[in-house]
Amino acid sequence: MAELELVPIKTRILTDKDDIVDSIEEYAKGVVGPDDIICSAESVVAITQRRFTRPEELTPSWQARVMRRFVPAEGSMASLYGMQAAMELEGEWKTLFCFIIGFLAKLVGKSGVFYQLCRQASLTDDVTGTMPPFDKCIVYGPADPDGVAEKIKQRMKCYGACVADVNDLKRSAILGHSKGLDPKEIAQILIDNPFGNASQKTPIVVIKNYAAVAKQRNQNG
Amino acid sequence: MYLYVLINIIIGIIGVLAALYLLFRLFAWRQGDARFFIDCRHREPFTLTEISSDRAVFETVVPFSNRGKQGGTIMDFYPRHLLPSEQYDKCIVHSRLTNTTANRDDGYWESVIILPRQGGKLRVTVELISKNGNIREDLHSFPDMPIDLVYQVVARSEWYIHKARITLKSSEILRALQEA
Repeated sequence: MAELELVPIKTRILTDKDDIVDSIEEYAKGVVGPDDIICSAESVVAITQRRFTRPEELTPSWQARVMRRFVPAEGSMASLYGMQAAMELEGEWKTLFCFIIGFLAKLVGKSGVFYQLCRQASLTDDVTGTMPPFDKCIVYGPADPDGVAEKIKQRMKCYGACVADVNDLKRSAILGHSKGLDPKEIAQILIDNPFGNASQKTPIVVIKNYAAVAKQRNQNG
Repeated sequence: MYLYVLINIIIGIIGVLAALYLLFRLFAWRQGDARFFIDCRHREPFTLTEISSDRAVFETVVPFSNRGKQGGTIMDFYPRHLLPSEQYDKCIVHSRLTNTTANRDDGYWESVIILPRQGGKLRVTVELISKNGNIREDLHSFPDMPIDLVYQVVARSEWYIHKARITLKSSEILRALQEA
Protein backbone atom coordinates (compact mmCIF):
# COMPACT_ATOMS: atom_id res chain seq x y z
CA MET A 1 0.00 0.00 0.00
CA ALA A 2 1.48 3.31 -1.12
CA GLU A 3 2.05 6.09 1.37
CA LEU A 4 2.79 9.76 0.97
CA GLU A 5 6.39 10.64 1.61
CA LEU A 6 8.05 14.06 1.52
CA VAL A 7 11.59 13.95 0.16
CA PRO A 8 13.60 17.21 0.40
CA ILE A 9 16.23 17.47 -2.34
CA LYS A 10 19.50 19.14 -1.46
CA THR A 11 21.06 21.38 -4.11
CA ARG A 12 23.95 23.78 -4.35
CA ILE A 13 22.98 27.47 -4.01
CA LEU A 14 20.96 28.27 -7.11
CA THR A 15 21.48 31.71 -8.64
CA ASP A 16 20.24 33.77 -11.56
CA LYS A 17 22.74 31.86 -13.72
CA ASP A 18 20.63 28.71 -13.24
CA ASP A 19 17.45 27.54 -14.89
CA ILE A 20 15.04 26.10 -12.34
CA VAL A 21 13.80 23.32 -14.63
CA ASP A 22 17.37 22.24 -15.54
CA SER A 23 18.35 22.34 -11.87
CA ILE A 24 15.41 20.20 -10.81
CA GLU A 25 16.32 17.70 -13.51
CA GLU A 26 19.94 17.70 -12.35
CA TYR A 27 19.19 17.08 -8.67
CA ALA A 28 15.89 15.20 -8.61
CA LYS A 29 16.09 12.97 -11.67
CA GLY A 30 16.79 9.77 -9.75
CA VAL A 31 14.13 10.45 -7.13
CA VAL A 32 11.04 11.42 -9.12
CA GLY A 33 8.56 8.89 -10.49
CA PRO A 34 5.32 9.19 -12.45
CA ASP A 35 3.15 9.24 -9.29
CA ASP A 36 5.09 12.10 -7.68
CA ILE A 37 4.65 15.86 -7.36
CA ILE A 38 7.64 18.19 -7.46
CA CYS A 39 7.41 21.30 -5.32
CA SER A 40 9.83 24.17 -5.70
CA ALA A 41 10.30 26.99 -3.20
CA GLU A 42 9.03 30.27 -4.63
CA SER A 43 12.06 32.34 -3.57
CA VAL A 44 14.42 30.04 -5.46
CA VAL A 45 12.25 30.19 -8.58
CA ALA A 46 12.29 34.00 -8.32
CA ILE A 47 16.07 34.09 -7.84
CA THR A 48 16.65 31.93 -10.94
CA GLN A 49 14.41 34.42 -12.80
CA ARG A 50 16.61 37.30 -11.56
CA ARG A 51 13.67 38.75 -9.69
CA PHE A 52 15.54 40.32 -6.80
CA THR A 53 17.06 43.66 -5.94
CA ARG A 54 19.16 45.23 -3.21
CA PRO A 55 18.18 48.11 -0.89
CA GLU A 56 21.18 50.03 -2.24
CA GLU A 57 19.64 49.95 -5.72
CA LEU A 58 16.32 51.47 -4.66
CA THR A 59 15.35 55.12 -4.17
CA PRO A 60 12.43 55.23 -1.74
CA SER A 61 9.44 57.34 -2.79
CA TRP A 62 7.44 59.52 -0.41
CA GLN A 63 4.58 57.03 -0.67
CA ALA A 64 6.85 54.25 0.64
CA ARG A 65 8.14 56.52 3.41
CA VAL A 66 4.58 57.17 4.61
CA MET A 67 3.06 53.69 4.19
CA ARG A 68 5.85 51.67 5.83
CA ARG A 69 5.17 53.47 9.10
CA PHE A 70 1.70 51.92 9.31
CA VAL A 71 2.68 48.28 8.70
CA PRO A 72 3.28 45.98 11.72
CA ALA A 73 7.00 45.54 12.40
CA GLU A 74 7.18 41.84 11.58
CA GLY A 75 6.15 42.19 7.93
CA SER A 76 8.44 42.74 4.94
CA MET A 77 6.43 45.87 4.09
CA ALA A 78 7.45 47.52 7.39
CA SER A 79 10.87 48.05 5.86
CA LEU A 80 11.26 51.13 3.69
CA TYR A 81 12.99 49.10 0.99
CA GLY A 82 10.63 46.13 1.19
CA MET A 83 7.75 48.52 0.56
CA GLN A 84 9.62 50.33 -2.20
CA ALA A 85 10.55 47.04 -3.89
CA ALA A 86 6.89 45.99 -4.04
CA MET A 87 6.01 49.42 -5.41
CA GLU A 88 8.62 49.11 -8.16
CA LEU A 89 6.60 46.23 -9.63
CA GLU A 90 3.07 47.26 -8.70
CA GLY A 91 3.38 51.00 -9.24
CA GLU A 92 3.60 53.67 -6.56
CA TRP A 93 0.12 55.12 -6.98
CA LYS A 94 -1.56 51.73 -7.29
CA THR A 95 0.15 50.56 -4.10
CA LEU A 96 -0.90 53.73 -2.28
CA PHE A 97 -4.48 53.29 -3.49
CA CYS A 98 -4.52 49.62 -2.37
CA PHE A 99 -3.07 50.67 0.96
CA ILE A 100 -5.82 53.22 1.53
CA ILE A 101 -8.48 50.65 0.59
CA GLY A 102 -6.82 48.14 2.92
CA PHE A 103 -6.76 50.71 5.71
CA LEU A 104 -10.47 51.50 5.26
CA ALA A 105 -11.29 47.77 5.13
CA LYS A 106 -9.42 47.25 8.39
CA LEU A 107 -11.52 49.97 10.02
CA VAL A 108 -14.60 47.84 9.32
CA GLY A 109 -12.86 44.69 10.59
CA LYS A 110 -11.56 43.10 7.38
CA SER A 111 -7.85 42.33 7.44
CA GLY A 112 -5.48 41.45 4.62
CA VAL A 113 -7.22 43.47 1.88
CA PHE A 114 -4.03 45.40 1.04
CA TYR A 115 -2.16 42.15 0.43
CA GLN A 116 -5.00 40.74 -1.67
CA LEU A 117 -5.10 43.82 -3.91
CA CYS A 118 -1.36 44.36 -4.08
CA ARG A 119 0.06 40.91 -4.86
CA GLN A 120 3.74 41.86 -4.71
CA ALA A 121 3.26 43.21 -1.18
CA SER A 122 2.45 39.69 -0.03
CA LEU A 123 5.06 37.92 -2.19
CA THR A 124 8.09 40.17 -1.67
CA ASP A 125 10.60 38.93 0.91
CA ASP A 126 12.68 41.60 2.60
CA VAL A 127 16.39 41.15 3.38
CA THR A 128 17.06 38.08 5.59
CA GLY A 129 14.16 36.36 3.85
CA THR A 130 16.29 33.81 2.04
CA MET A 131 19.62 32.04 2.24
CA PRO A 132 23.09 33.59 1.73
CA PRO A 133 24.22 35.19 -0.50
CA PHE A 134 20.68 36.42 -1.22
CA ASP A 135 20.06 37.30 2.44
CA LYS A 136 21.13 40.84 1.54
CA CYS A 137 18.59 41.03 -1.27
CA ILE A 138 14.88 41.72 -1.48
CA VAL A 139 13.34 38.85 -3.41
CA TYR A 140 10.13 39.38 -5.38
CA GLY A 141 7.51 36.77 -6.08
CA PRO A 142 8.18 34.49 -9.07
CA ALA A 143 6.90 35.31 -12.55
CA ASP A 144 4.44 32.93 -14.21
CA PRO A 145 4.50 30.25 -11.48
CA ASP A 146 1.85 28.18 -13.32
CA GLY A 147 4.01 28.13 -16.44
CA VAL A 148 7.10 27.16 -14.45
CA ALA A 149 5.20 24.30 -12.78
CA GLU A 150 3.91 23.06 -16.12
CA LYS A 151 7.45 23.09 -17.58
CA ILE A 152 8.77 21.11 -14.59
CA LYS A 153 5.99 18.55 -15.02
CA GLN A 154 6.64 18.17 -18.76
CA ARG A 155 10.39 17.80 -18.33
CA MET A 156 10.30 15.41 -15.38
CA LYS A 157 7.30 13.38 -16.63
CA CYS A 158 5.83 13.33 -13.13
CA TYR A 159 2.23 13.57 -11.93
CA GLY A 160 2.42 17.30 -11.25
CA ALA A 161 4.51 20.23 -10.08
CA CYS A 162 3.98 23.37 -8.07
CA VAL A 163 5.68 26.51 -6.82
CA ALA A 164 5.09 26.88 -3.08
CA ASP A 165 5.50 29.63 -0.49
CA VAL A 166 5.91 27.89 2.85
CA ASN A 167 7.43 29.06 6.12
CA ASP A 168 8.07 27.79 9.62
CA LEU A 169 5.07 29.73 10.95
CA LYS A 170 2.64 27.18 9.45
CA ARG A 171 1.91 29.41 6.48
CA SER A 172 1.67 27.46 3.26
CA ALA A 173 0.43 28.69 -0.12
CA ILE A 174 0.71 27.34 -3.65
CA LEU A 175 1.52 30.21 -6.00
CA GLY A 176 1.43 28.16 -9.18
CA HIS A 177 0.70 24.58 -10.15
CA SER A 178 0.41 22.29 -13.14
CA LYS A 179 -3.04 21.38 -14.42
CA GLY A 180 -5.09 18.91 -12.36
CA LEU A 181 -3.64 19.63 -8.91
CA ASP A 182 -5.62 20.87 -5.93
CA PRO A 183 -3.52 23.76 -4.51
CA LYS A 184 -5.28 23.70 -1.13
CA GLU A 185 -4.52 20.00 -0.64
CA ILE A 186 -0.87 20.42 -1.67
CA ALA A 187 -0.52 23.42 0.65
CA GLN A 188 -1.82 21.31 3.51
CA ILE A 189 0.67 18.51 2.72
CA LEU A 190 3.52 21.05 2.85
CA ILE A 191 2.30 22.84 6.00
CA ASP A 192 5.23 21.62 8.17
CA ASN A 193 7.74 23.24 5.82
CA PRO A 194 9.73 20.29 4.47
CA PHE A 195 11.87 22.83 2.59
CA GLY A 196 13.57 23.48 5.93
CA ASN A 197 15.04 26.78 6.91
CA ALA A 198 17.29 28.83 4.68
CA SER A 199 20.64 27.21 5.41
CA GLN A 200 19.47 23.66 4.73
CA LYS A 201 19.64 24.20 0.97
CA THR A 202 16.63 22.03 0.13
CA PRO A 203 14.58 24.22 -2.22
CA ILE A 204 12.92 21.22 -3.89
CA VAL A 205 10.59 18.76 -2.20
CA VAL A 206 9.18 15.66 -3.89
CA ILE A 207 5.81 14.41 -2.70
CA LYS A 208 6.26 10.70 -3.39
CA ASN A 209 3.35 8.41 -4.36
CA TYR A 210 0.78 11.21 -4.52
CA ALA A 211 -1.11 9.79 -7.50
CA ALA A 212 -1.14 6.24 -6.08
CA VAL A 213 -2.42 7.45 -2.70
CA ALA A 214 -5.10 9.58 -4.37
CA LYS A 215 -6.18 6.57 -6.43
CA GLN A 216 -6.41 4.35 -3.33
CA ARG A 217 -8.39 7.07 -1.53
CA ASN A 218 -10.85 7.30 -4.42
CA GLN A 219 -11.30 3.52 -4.54
CA ASN A 220 -11.89 3.35 -0.78
CA GLY A 221 -14.44 5.99 -0.61
CA MET B 1 -15.90 87.55 -3.65
CA TYR B 2 -15.10 84.33 -5.55
CA LEU B 3 -11.39 85.10 -5.36
CA TYR B 4 -11.67 85.53 -1.59
CA VAL B 5 -13.45 82.16 -1.23
CA LEU B 6 -10.87 80.49 -3.48
CA ILE B 7 -7.97 81.86 -1.42
CA ASN B 8 -9.66 80.64 1.76
CA ILE B 9 -10.10 77.16 0.28
CA ILE B 10 -6.45 77.02 -0.79
CA ILE B 11 -5.29 78.20 2.65
CA GLY B 12 -7.59 75.63 4.26
CA ILE B 13 -6.16 72.80 2.14
CA ILE B 14 -2.58 73.87 2.89
CA GLY B 15 -3.46 74.01 6.60
CA VAL B 16 -4.97 70.52 6.58
CA LEU B 17 -1.96 69.11 4.70
CA ALA B 18 0.43 70.82 7.13
CA ALA B 19 -1.50 69.44 10.11
CA LEU B 20 -1.46 65.92 8.60
CA TYR B 21 2.26 66.19 7.95
CA LEU B 22 2.93 67.29 11.53
CA LEU B 23 0.77 64.45 12.88
CA PHE B 24 2.70 61.99 10.72
CA ARG B 25 6.04 63.33 11.93
CA LEU B 26 4.82 63.05 15.52
CA PHE B 27 3.66 59.47 14.89
CA ALA B 28 7.00 58.56 13.27
CA TRP B 29 8.89 60.13 16.17
CA ARG B 30 6.86 58.17 18.73
CA GLN B 31 7.22 54.98 16.70
CA GLY B 32 11.01 55.39 16.63
CA ASP B 33 13.49 53.15 14.88
CA ALA B 34 16.19 50.59 15.53
CA ARG B 35 19.29 51.97 17.26
CA PHE B 36 22.25 49.64 17.44
CA PHE B 37 24.89 49.94 20.09
CA ILE B 38 28.23 48.15 19.88
CA ASP B 39 29.44 47.91 23.44
CA CYS B 40 33.18 48.19 22.81
CA ARG B 41 33.88 49.17 26.42
CA HIS B 42 32.63 45.82 27.64
CA ARG B 43 34.40 43.62 25.15
CA GLU B 44 36.31 40.64 26.51
CA PRO B 45 40.14 40.84 26.55
CA PHE B 46 41.82 39.39 23.47
CA THR B 47 42.91 35.80 24.03
CA LEU B 48 45.43 33.73 22.12
CA THR B 49 43.57 30.85 20.45
CA GLU B 50 46.28 29.46 18.15
CA ILE B 51 50.02 29.87 17.86
CA SER B 52 52.72 28.29 15.71
CA SER B 53 56.24 29.39 14.81
CA ASP B 54 55.06 31.98 12.30
CA ARG B 55 51.38 32.58 13.11
CA ALA B 56 49.24 33.69 16.03
CA VAL B 57 45.48 34.07 16.28
CA PHE B 58 43.76 36.29 18.83
CA GLU B 59 40.05 36.57 19.57
CA THR B 60 37.73 38.82 21.51
CA VAL B 61 33.98 38.92 22.03
CA VAL B 62 32.08 42.21 21.72
CA PRO B 63 28.45 42.57 22.85
CA PHE B 64 25.96 44.53 20.79
CA SER B 65 22.32 45.41 21.26
CA ASN B 66 19.37 47.20 19.72
CA ARG B 67 18.47 50.05 22.05
CA GLY B 68 15.80 51.43 19.73
CA LYS B 69 12.02 51.05 19.75
CA GLN B 70 11.86 49.07 16.48
CA GLY B 71 13.49 45.93 15.17
CA GLY B 72 16.28 46.40 12.67
CA THR B 73 18.39 44.30 10.34
CA ILE B 74 22.16 44.22 10.45
CA MET B 75 22.82 43.48 6.79
CA ASP B 76 26.57 43.43 6.94
CA PHE B 77 29.29 43.57 9.57
CA TYR B 78 33.02 43.46 9.03
CA PRO B 79 36.25 44.48 10.75
CA ARG B 80 38.71 46.96 9.27
CA HIS B 81 42.09 46.79 10.99
CA LEU B 82 44.24 49.88 10.78
CA LEU B 83 47.94 49.11 10.81
CA PRO B 84 49.91 50.93 8.12
CA SER B 85 53.30 49.51 7.13
CA GLU B 86 54.90 52.83 8.09
CA GLN B 87 53.97 51.98 11.66
CA TYR B 88 54.67 48.23 11.71
CA ASP B 89 55.65 45.91 8.88
CA LYS B 90 56.77 42.67 10.54
CA CYS B 91 53.43 40.89 10.23
CA ILE B 92 50.66 40.32 7.74
CA VAL B 93 47.32 40.99 9.43
CA HIS B 94 43.99 39.34 8.65
CA SER B 95 40.80 40.05 10.58
CA ARG B 96 37.26 38.75 10.45
CA LEU B 97 34.19 38.66 12.65
CA THR B 98 31.18 36.47 13.12
CA ASN B 99 27.91 36.46 15.01
CA THR B 100 28.36 33.98 17.88
CA THR B 101 24.81 32.69 17.42
CA ALA B 102 25.46 31.92 13.73
CA ASN B 103 29.10 31.02 13.88
CA ARG B 104 30.94 30.86 10.57
CA ASP B 105 34.60 31.06 9.54
CA ASP B 106 34.28 32.53 6.04
CA GLY B 107 34.04 36.18 7.07
CA TYR B 108 30.50 36.38 5.65
CA TRP B 109 27.91 38.14 7.78
CA GLU B 110 24.49 36.58 7.46
CA SER B 111 21.83 39.31 7.66
CA VAL B 112 20.02 39.15 10.96
CA ILE B 113 16.98 40.87 12.46
CA ILE B 114 17.52 42.15 15.99
CA LEU B 115 14.37 42.98 17.91
CA PRO B 116 14.15 45.97 20.30
CA ARG B 117 16.04 45.48 23.57
CA GLN B 118 17.72 42.35 22.24
CA GLY B 119 21.24 41.83 21.07
CA GLY B 120 24.05 39.40 20.60
CA LYS B 121 27.79 38.99 20.54
CA LEU B 122 30.45 39.32 17.89
CA ARG B 123 33.55 37.18 17.83
CA VAL B 124 36.39 39.22 16.33
CA THR B 125 39.37 37.18 15.16
CA VAL B 126 42.77 38.65 14.29
CA GLU B 127 45.39 36.50 12.57
CA LEU B 128 48.99 37.72 12.58
CA ILE B 129 51.51 36.06 10.27
CA SER B 130 55.19 36.80 10.73
CA LYS B 131 57.01 37.85 7.58
CA ASN B 132 60.32 36.42 8.81
CA GLY B 133 59.00 33.27 10.48
CA ASN B 134 59.27 34.14 14.20
CA ILE B 135 55.92 35.38 15.44
CA ARG B 136 56.82 35.41 19.15
CA GLU B 137 59.73 37.75 18.52
CA ASP B 138 57.73 39.98 16.19
CA LEU B 139 54.85 40.32 18.63
CA HIS B 140 57.10 41.87 21.28
CA SER B 141 57.16 45.08 19.25
CA PHE B 142 53.55 44.93 18.01
CA PRO B 143 51.86 48.34 18.51
CA ASP B 144 48.28 49.07 19.60
CA MET B 145 46.15 48.35 16.54
CA PRO B 146 42.70 49.96 16.12
CA ILE B 147 40.03 47.81 14.49
CA ASP B 148 36.91 49.49 13.15
CA LEU B 149 33.80 47.32 13.35
CA VAL B 150 31.79 48.48 10.37
CA TYR B 151 28.10 47.61 10.13
CA GLN B 152 25.28 48.29 7.71
CA VAL B 153 21.77 48.64 9.09
CA VAL B 154 18.38 48.78 7.46
CA ALA B 155 15.21 49.30 9.48
CA ARG B 156 12.20 51.60 9.23
CA SER B 157 14.50 54.33 7.95
CA GLU B 158 17.02 54.39 5.12
CA TRP B 159 20.02 52.09 5.26
CA TYR B 160 23.19 53.45 6.75
CA ILE B 161 26.72 52.38 7.60
CA HIS B 162 28.19 53.09 11.03
CA LYS B 163 31.34 51.98 12.76
CA ALA B 164 32.59 51.35 16.24
CA ARG B 165 36.21 50.93 17.27
CA ILE B 166 38.09 48.44 19.42
CA THR B 167 41.85 48.28 19.87
CA LEU B 168 44.08 45.23 19.97
CA LYS B 169 46.55 46.50 22.57
CA SER B 170 50.18 45.51 22.71
CA SER B 171 49.76 44.84 26.44
CA GLU B 172 46.94 42.38 25.70
CA ILE B 173 49.13 40.54 23.21
CA LEU B 174 52.00 40.22 25.67
CA ARG B 175 49.67 39.07 28.45
CA ALA B 176 48.01 36.53 26.15
CA LEU B 177 51.41 35.21 25.08
CA GLN B 178 52.49 34.80 28.70
CA GLU B 179 49.27 32.96 29.59
CA ALA B 180 49.54 30.60 26.60
